[in-house]
Amino acid sequence: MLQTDIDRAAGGDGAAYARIVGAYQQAVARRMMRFGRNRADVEELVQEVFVEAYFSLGGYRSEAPFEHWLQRIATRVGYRYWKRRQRERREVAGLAIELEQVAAAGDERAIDAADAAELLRGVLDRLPPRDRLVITLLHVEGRSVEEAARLSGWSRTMVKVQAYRARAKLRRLLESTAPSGRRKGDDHG
Amino acid sequence: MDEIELIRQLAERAGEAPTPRVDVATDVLTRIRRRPVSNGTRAWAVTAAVGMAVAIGSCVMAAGSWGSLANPLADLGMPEAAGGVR
Repeated sequence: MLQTDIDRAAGGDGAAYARIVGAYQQAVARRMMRFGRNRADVEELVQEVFVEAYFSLGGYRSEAPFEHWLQRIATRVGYRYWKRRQRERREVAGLAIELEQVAAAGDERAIDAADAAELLRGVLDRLPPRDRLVITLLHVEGRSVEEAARLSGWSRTMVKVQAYRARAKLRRLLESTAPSGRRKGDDHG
Repeated sequence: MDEIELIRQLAERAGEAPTPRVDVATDVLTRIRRRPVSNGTRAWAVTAAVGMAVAIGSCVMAAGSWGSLANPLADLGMPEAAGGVR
């Protein structure tokens, strides 16, 4: 059924493509939650994914599950969105205070989900898109190097190298704004 | 706690935020219909047209060259080479 709709959609059948969008839009929206800041962003990104997927349908090979193929496109679209935003972004005041909260969050069990999400976004927002993508895939989503490579379109070596660099940047970022007396190594006594 | 552990803990505490319900099929189809031919596609078409014109021109010139080669052979006393008189 899906393959029939894909073939029809590739031939220009809008109704067939609407059925595909309907079947996968929630899964794609879940993925785009990692990239967008709010509902409007997420909806826009989901649309972008399906428009790009439509024009790439000719490249889909049915050996791989359609959803995997779609998730790769979604990751690419999300990554491009971060890159666009990075160009538009201006530094906001209060970075040090925010990062102090992040550093303190490790010890503060009472932090609620919304604050944790906001702090996480605040830290990752300050990383370049490449670093952010690899940290998100490996450590926020807990994916394997293999999966991260498949979703990003990078080689496994590239994922490992990028992860190493991203981690170093993240460490420098946190250390540079950590409250005095809580630099790296303090945990070890 | 190292930086990765901190990120993991924040991610764990942030949990899975509820995904908003989306219904984008109509918008997607509208955007697909309205999408203009990209600059890349246009550039590709122009390149292909120019390439074809050059190829055709080369064939015409090659045919012309073959004809002009035949006459000097005839001048050298080889009329049969020019498809000439027996």
